[in-house]
Amino acid sequence: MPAGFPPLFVHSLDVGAAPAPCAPQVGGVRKECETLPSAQMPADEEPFAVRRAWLAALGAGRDHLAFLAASHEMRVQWHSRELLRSQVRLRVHSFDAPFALLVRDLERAHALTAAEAHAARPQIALTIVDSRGNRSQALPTAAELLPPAR
Amino acid sequence: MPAWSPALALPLLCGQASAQDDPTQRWRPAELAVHLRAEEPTEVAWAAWRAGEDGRRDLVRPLRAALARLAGQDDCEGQLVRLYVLDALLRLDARVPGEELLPHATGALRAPALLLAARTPLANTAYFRARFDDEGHDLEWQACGNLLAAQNAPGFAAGCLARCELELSVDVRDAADDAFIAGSSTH
Repeated sequence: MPAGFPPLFVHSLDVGAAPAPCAPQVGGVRKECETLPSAQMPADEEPFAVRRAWLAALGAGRDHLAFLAASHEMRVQWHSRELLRSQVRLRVHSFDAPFALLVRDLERAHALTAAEAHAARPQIALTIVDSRGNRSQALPTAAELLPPAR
Repeated sequence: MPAWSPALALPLLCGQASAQDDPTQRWRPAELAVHLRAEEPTEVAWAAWRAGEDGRRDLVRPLRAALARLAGQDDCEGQLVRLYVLDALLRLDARVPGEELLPHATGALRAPALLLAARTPLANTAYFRARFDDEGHDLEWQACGNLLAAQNAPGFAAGCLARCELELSVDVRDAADDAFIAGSSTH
């Protein structure tokens, strides 16, 4: 029986528009490098930015991508608890119009089927805190506030 | 993001060193397929390595069979021997269906498995989608997303949109808290 394993090697994966430089040997170990093509590799590696880059590659318009970027972290402040429910609902609805246009972009680019377009909507993580920094049980939940699917 | 090579440390983690003695010198070329069916992991590894060295494309099918047989052996030695089989398939420029590769997309095997799947990107959309949905947010995730985007793959746009989490944070202040509001204008 063989006493050990065959000569060592390593497979190195990279992504980019051009092949990454590669030394065929690393300390006597065979090195195989492969660069998977990426015409739209974003410099920013934060997952949200990467997803936006993919949506751009799929045909999303610049304005709608800007909307996504702006709405990624949005802070809103209300000064009246009485108006909260209607105002928050209004605010969440305000996401809908540009989002629908974004979906329409992607439908035009045939990246999205009609059924997928109907089902697609962003996940909105709605955090409501009171002046002391506590979450109030009396306030509407994010699920209550989400408008129905188009 | 630096190049990704998770297999680099696997032999060291397994406490395995490469052998100087090449047992395949004593094997007849026609016997390699038999050695690929062996129980002993190192014997399979050597047979796979020799198949890759000699460009034995006639052994692609036995190599695929060995890979299937070794699925689920996720200990160090099990991963290491599969690494040699995947390496041989890559060196032989084999075309392997994604469904055969998916059980091996684990640990140190993810890079070579993805590279093999990427040899036939149009046929392996399901593989890329499965790995993308794993949400590792690493180079494998990005590479799979890039491949799916380049193909305009059905369902990919919807998948991207569904995971775009918009963080809407609402701070509520009562009228009595005016002083507090005035002091919290940095929101």
